Amino acid sequence: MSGRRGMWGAALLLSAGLALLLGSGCAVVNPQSAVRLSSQALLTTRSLIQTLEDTRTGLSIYVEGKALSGPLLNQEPLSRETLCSITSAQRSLRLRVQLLGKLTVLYDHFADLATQGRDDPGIFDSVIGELDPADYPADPPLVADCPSEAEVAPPPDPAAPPVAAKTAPSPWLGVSRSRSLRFASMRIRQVLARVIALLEKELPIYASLQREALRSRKGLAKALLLKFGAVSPGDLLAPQLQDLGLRWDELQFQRQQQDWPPAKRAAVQAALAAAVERRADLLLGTQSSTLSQYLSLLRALARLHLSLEVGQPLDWRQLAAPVLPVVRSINLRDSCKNQ
Amino acid sequence: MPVDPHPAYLAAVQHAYEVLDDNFDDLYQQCTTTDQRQSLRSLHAAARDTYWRAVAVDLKDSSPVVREIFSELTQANQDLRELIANLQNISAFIALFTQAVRLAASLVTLATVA
Repeated sequence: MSGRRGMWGAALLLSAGLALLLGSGCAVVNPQSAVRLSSQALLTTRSLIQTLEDTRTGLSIYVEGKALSGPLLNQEPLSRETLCSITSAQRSLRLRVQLLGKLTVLYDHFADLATQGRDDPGIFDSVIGELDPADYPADPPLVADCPSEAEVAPPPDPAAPPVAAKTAPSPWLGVSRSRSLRFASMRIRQVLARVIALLEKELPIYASLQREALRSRKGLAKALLLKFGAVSPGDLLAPQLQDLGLRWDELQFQRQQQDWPPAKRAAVQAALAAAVERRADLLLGTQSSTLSQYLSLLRALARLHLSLEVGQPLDWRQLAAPVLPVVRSINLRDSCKNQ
Repeated sequence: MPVDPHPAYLAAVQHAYEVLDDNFDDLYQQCTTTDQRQSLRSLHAAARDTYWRAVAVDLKDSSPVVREIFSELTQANQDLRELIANLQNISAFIALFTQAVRLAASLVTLATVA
């Protein structure tokens, strides 16, 4: 009797222990999930970096475009103050690219942490510093001697002696990979939250810059096309013609135009101007929604981090998640057939 | 948390500049005197400079004076849009746009947080 009571007691204790373990967040973090999260984050971050780089390059093209449109459209050239403001905007974009570059380094390390073996010496050994080209500005300012702004601090010398002593133990020694991943994920999520807050604040400014750069290109393009007849609308009309086996013939157009009455020429010009406006509107809409999409993707990444940290066991619900939409679409096709 | 006023201020300043920039060529053709043409060029440059200044600084101040200027600029933008849709007098446009540029420049100067 007392033996049975003892066994019951032990079972009760074991159950309580298990419940305590599970309740205290001891679910295992899946390293493969961490690798997948990291690769998704790298795709998003690198793509956002490219967008910001394109915006920055677009500002140099804007300055060039204004140099062209000045004499062509009787406009004043860009003032020195404006060139300084554009340089300042480019510098801000560079800083954001640098920040996102650091985020990609973090995710690279996160993936390494997930894949490193039990016997690996560890990836955070402080011996090899990170080399990031964005840390070393190379492009010249648009105008010299702008009012000084705080210069970006040069990066630490990557060849400097390591901070950690040779005999210092790895900070991850004795810590399970699962716990290391959870801790790293939490830290990255905190960084991500700050990046998201920063981008939420600055996204309207990036959108404004993109809008101004595109509007300027549109103004110049319309002037060259309609006022000076110096560019061909061939590429603009290509999507309308190519699938039908037709091609814009610039030479023929120029020859015919000479004999056209003014009303006919005006009609063609108005049509081309409308097409340029439409194309520019489409581009503007795409640019604006792309920026919002990046923000949504970063927020989704933060949620994925939370899921990873909670540690989801592989069960039938997770298996069903990717399978169910396929099954549903098969059923949808079947129901269409039956109609 | 208070709403960041920078995007709204920047949009208003940009809008004023765009009204002139998008229609600059047509408006320039409608000028009948050298003075009018020079005024239009100067106003265009001033509106563009003001927009770029608004991009480069931090527009944070939302004191009643700044909010009133912002409100006046929004109204001026609306008036400009209506005027340009049915433009008959270039002098009226130049006068209204001069007012809009003054408001935009004041907004950027007063809302800037050093």
